[in-house]
Amino acid sequence: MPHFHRRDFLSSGLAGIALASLLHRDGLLRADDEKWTPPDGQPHFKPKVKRVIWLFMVGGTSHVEAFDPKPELNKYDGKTIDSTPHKAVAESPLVKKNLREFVPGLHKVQPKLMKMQTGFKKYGKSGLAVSDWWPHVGGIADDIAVVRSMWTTDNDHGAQLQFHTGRHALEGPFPTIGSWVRYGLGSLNDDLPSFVVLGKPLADCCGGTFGHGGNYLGPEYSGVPLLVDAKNPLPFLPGKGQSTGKQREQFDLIRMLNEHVAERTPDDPAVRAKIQSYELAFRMQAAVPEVMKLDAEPEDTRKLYGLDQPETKEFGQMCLAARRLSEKGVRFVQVFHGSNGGAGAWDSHADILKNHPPLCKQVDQPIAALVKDLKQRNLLDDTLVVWGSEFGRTPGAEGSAGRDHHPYGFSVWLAGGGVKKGVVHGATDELGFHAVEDRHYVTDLHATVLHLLGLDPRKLAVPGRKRLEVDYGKPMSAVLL
Amino acid sequence: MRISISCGLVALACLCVGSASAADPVDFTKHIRPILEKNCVSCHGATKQKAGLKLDLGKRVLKGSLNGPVVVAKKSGESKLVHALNGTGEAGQMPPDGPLPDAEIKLIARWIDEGAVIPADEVDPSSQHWAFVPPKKAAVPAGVHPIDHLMAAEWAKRNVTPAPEADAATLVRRLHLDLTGLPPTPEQVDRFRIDEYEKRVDELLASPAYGERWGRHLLDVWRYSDWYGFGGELRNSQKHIWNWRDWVVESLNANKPYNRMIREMLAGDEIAPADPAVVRATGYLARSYYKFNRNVWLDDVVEHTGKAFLGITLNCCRCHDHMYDPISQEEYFRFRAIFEPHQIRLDPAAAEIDPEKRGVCRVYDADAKAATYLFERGNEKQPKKDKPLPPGVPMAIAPSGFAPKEIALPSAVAHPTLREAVQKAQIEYAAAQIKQFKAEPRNKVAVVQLQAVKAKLAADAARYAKPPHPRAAELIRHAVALHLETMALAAEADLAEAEEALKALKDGKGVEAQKKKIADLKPKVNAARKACETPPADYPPLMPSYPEASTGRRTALAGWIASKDNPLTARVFVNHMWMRHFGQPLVPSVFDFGKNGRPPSHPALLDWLAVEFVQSGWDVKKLHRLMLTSRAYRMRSSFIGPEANANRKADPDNLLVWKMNPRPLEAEAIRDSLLSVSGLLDPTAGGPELDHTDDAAKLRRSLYYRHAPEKQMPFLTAFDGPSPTECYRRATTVVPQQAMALVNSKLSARAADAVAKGLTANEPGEVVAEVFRKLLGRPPTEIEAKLCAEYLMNNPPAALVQAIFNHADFTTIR
Repeated sequence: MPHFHRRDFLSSGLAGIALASLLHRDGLLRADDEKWTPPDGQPHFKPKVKRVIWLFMVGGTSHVEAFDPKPELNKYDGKTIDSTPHKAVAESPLVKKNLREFVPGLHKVQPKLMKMQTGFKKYGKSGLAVSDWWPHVGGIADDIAVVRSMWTTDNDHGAQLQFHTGRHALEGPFPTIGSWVRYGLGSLNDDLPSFVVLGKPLADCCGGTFGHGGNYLGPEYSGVPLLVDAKNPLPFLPGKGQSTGKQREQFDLIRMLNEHVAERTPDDPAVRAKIQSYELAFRMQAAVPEVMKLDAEPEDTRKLYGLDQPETKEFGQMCLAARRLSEKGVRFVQVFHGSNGGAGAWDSHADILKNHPPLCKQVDQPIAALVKDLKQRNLLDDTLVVWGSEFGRTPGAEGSAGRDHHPYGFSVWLAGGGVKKGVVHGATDELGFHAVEDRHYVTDLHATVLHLLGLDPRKLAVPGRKRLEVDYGKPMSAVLL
Repeated sequence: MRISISCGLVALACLCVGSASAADPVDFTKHIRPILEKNCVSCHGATKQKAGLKLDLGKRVLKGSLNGPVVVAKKSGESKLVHALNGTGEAGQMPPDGPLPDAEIKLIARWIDEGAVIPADEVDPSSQHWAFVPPKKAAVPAGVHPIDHLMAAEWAKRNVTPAPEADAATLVRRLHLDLTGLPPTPEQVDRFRIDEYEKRVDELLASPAYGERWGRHLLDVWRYSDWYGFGGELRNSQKHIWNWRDWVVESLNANKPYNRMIREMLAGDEIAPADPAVVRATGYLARSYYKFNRNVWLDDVVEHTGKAFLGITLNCCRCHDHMYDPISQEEYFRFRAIFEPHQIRLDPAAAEIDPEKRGVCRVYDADAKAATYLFERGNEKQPKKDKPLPPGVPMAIAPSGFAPKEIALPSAVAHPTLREAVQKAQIEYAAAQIKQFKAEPRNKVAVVQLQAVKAKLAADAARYAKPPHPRAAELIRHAVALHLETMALAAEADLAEAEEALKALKDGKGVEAQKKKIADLKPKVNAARKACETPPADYPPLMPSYPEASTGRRTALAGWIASKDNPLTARVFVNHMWMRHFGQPLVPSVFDFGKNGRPPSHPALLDWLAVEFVQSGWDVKKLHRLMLTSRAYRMRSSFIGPEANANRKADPDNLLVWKMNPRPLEAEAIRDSLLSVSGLLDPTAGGPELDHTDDAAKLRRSLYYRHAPEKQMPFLTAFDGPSPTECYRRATTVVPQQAMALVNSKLSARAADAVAKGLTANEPGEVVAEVFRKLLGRPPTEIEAKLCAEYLMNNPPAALVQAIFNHADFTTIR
């Protein structure tokens, strides 16, 4: 049972308490809301894991060149879909139904099939198929559960936001999966934020800071971006001569003054977020620089993550920092790769053979290292690692050598406590087009994460904020032990 | 489809072809249009019209293609449309990827045979999108503030109750922070009377700080960035771009109409070519400069001009027709063609001969013939060279009003040496050389150099006069001769000096090297002397010359954008202003008013404001005044009680604006407030950008510091300062780094010390009261007074001041 710190929860529950008590006093809670109490920081049932590391590739990673091999693409390379025996794929009503389109018919299916641009190998005892662009992840095949049947409804990069909120970008921002975890569970370490963001966050086009936002849960549930930079871990640290005791006194005064503001303006969630951020700031300014001292890691660990190679160094540092943060009790570490101010580095419309291999090279070894390292430290048993991207890429070619956005069927994988090892779940059709077996909308992934943490999303719902059935999703029980 | 709100499904339902029974006549809208929409309009529709044929509307089906009608009423056998569908016509099989089901072709034939009837009141669905329809003013009764009237309508619809008016102390602070980015001084608070609210609005709009505050807002939208690159190498934006920043601030303070601002930024060099105060506005375009790729540069210009002024995502149709809006890929490149001829140059500032040192970056049309080609799939390696594209604008937004006409430029613009200021600077510089080099042989060089400069200026004036002066050729020869003489004298002086230096060396080290230097110089002297005997036809110009005409494309574009007939321009601007006064926009997708954007929360209000804004002559200050004098703006930001809670149930996000939104103060305003309350603020306006690492040493307003990627004040970054590459709307996060910035930074310590030093009170209770008055413009509450007085027992006043910098009321507009 993870313990949590009461102090953290005293303030973190404030938002809910304040609003709910306002509504309650005036008899505005519905009968079922009346039973509502803010989360107490404890899981709702026995959890399998305590923490999550969420690895997100920005721009759309090709599933048919990663974890979902499709020999039929090689067989019908250069042929149009309707000239193959798989004609029905392009005619499936899912082509339109799967998407939330505003201009019907404008989303073209890329009809000319393009062969897989890399080979696949079977790895480990499980014989899990992983492409040659992901050899290191191949090396941890026996530890991961691949889900090949994900789908989403936005075929543009708003899907990045959707992957984290479960709602189409057109509906606006909603709380993200990390913020739900932060909202539902108490902190394991008061000295660090419970929800940390590493790597450059999403660009404004595709969600921006909403991609790690708490939205209506309140700004205190948003992810806290940290720099992985030992020389400059935080932009403003206390001066050398600063007395900690004196500063504590000052922080206490600030807290009391702002709590007084919060009492007077209970409907301003930013005040409560501010109170919490100060508590965290005081403790974090000592703890974060320590965590970011990656040099403290032994040479072989640094090598494992690829810190000795220019291609892997940057993302290796992120993954290593993610492990160090998790180890110290951070509940949710959201790691971005490939955010480039626009659609994202993985968005390979023109030439996938040029685009994907160097990106895979940057992340493959660090990601595998993360899983191996967690395992060797016995942390993998109560940690969940999730890998994903906003969608896959089209089986058909875009232009001569690119692949377009593909929301109809794509892959994610999970590893860690409570998750089956070396399994494949769900399937796309023979072209890798539609998710056809055990289809999972992105909120099923959220449901799985929450389930493993011992959380029931229905119990987290906030009065006055209607959630749809689809928002809750269903845990992917087939990949769970 | 599991998302329950499914527009896709609704649309699909409409697409199902209704079964026409044999007895009823075929209905175009119900039966035929869905078939055409599903199968034909992607090539024959709003965004693409192969063979000039559009099949998206009945009247266009009847109009036919470039080759004539495709439908002959009552005669399906003679109708080209039916032939094409059957694969028996000249066009071959349509659609090209396979024929329609037989039943559908028969249905179309039947419709034709029944007379090809189309509904009289057909509407074009793509032009019906709310933002592409010109705004209209709803009727507003006299005696009511229009904003309040239109908001009340929305409140009534959803049964929400507006919040009561905020108290005077809150309002005065709100107004000052909102309009100037600085808190009111205690005196300004004391002086405020609620019945003088409008007077205070006017005072603040008239203060220079207004332009600095709102200038920074607009610089977000127009993505201001100082130059950046690699080390000292300029790769993006331009040196001296601050001239444009100052233009923004000054234009707002002068209440320059918004349509005029658009014209000056996009085409200042064409509309007022000889006026440097206007031409600097084109820094807006110079900002997008990118050294290594002209396509990236122009893509940025197109994308951000679309987003900033029109709220359309033109960038989405660079590789293909727009997915959501009626804009074609070809239109993207036609829009680019508007900018194709333009380049950037540095004009020297007055009294300066080297524009690199002090100049003004600006644009000009360098090459009227520069061709624009569509890039296949947006790939710059695949230009469609067989079809150069003329400039154009997206027709679906506003079909008329874009007609470029070439503009002749004054000679002094094409040839900067004709400008008096330039001449004066050149002569003064040369004259100063004479004073600097008093001794021979240099003095003589400088004397002749001055003559040469004067001769060149005279020759330039003669040759570029309209018509050229008859003595131009003679003057050119004279200038050439003097130029050559200067060069020869300079070479001789170099040699003479080198020989002097050799004498001084006597013997020892360096003698050999010096001798070699002399040996190298001698032929140079000979060559320079020889050149005098065979003078070239022309002299090297003192400054480069530029074309004497400009294409007028950007002027035409600016006119099309800044037109009352453009349905987007005023709406987009009004929305930006509203967002910054009310803490949330009326249209949440501030840079995308297209179909992929989000609809307005108060459509009638947005439209009323847009029309009013245009009718007022695009008067920006009037627009502020309109918003600020509404009852809506004066509402409390905290609203509690049964009515408020009922509101919260109906509209938890306050989308209907039933109370004011409390807003976190922006990064610059926090820093500027620290400086202002401590009396440290240096109010100097404008000028070259200050070093961003000097932010705690030099103490001017934050917008005057260097702001570029990797060159931003960390203090601003901590508080969600704007990204210099794109920031249509700032993020508002609450993160621990902000606490650290206000508690640990040198700036906050220094400001706290300064406030503490200026305190006149001694007794703890009075000190607390004075600090609250200075920082928050109000007395402390009883609890605050007690907490702070207790704190002062063990801590110095400066520590208390710093704590109050962290008070939520200091960093929030309430």
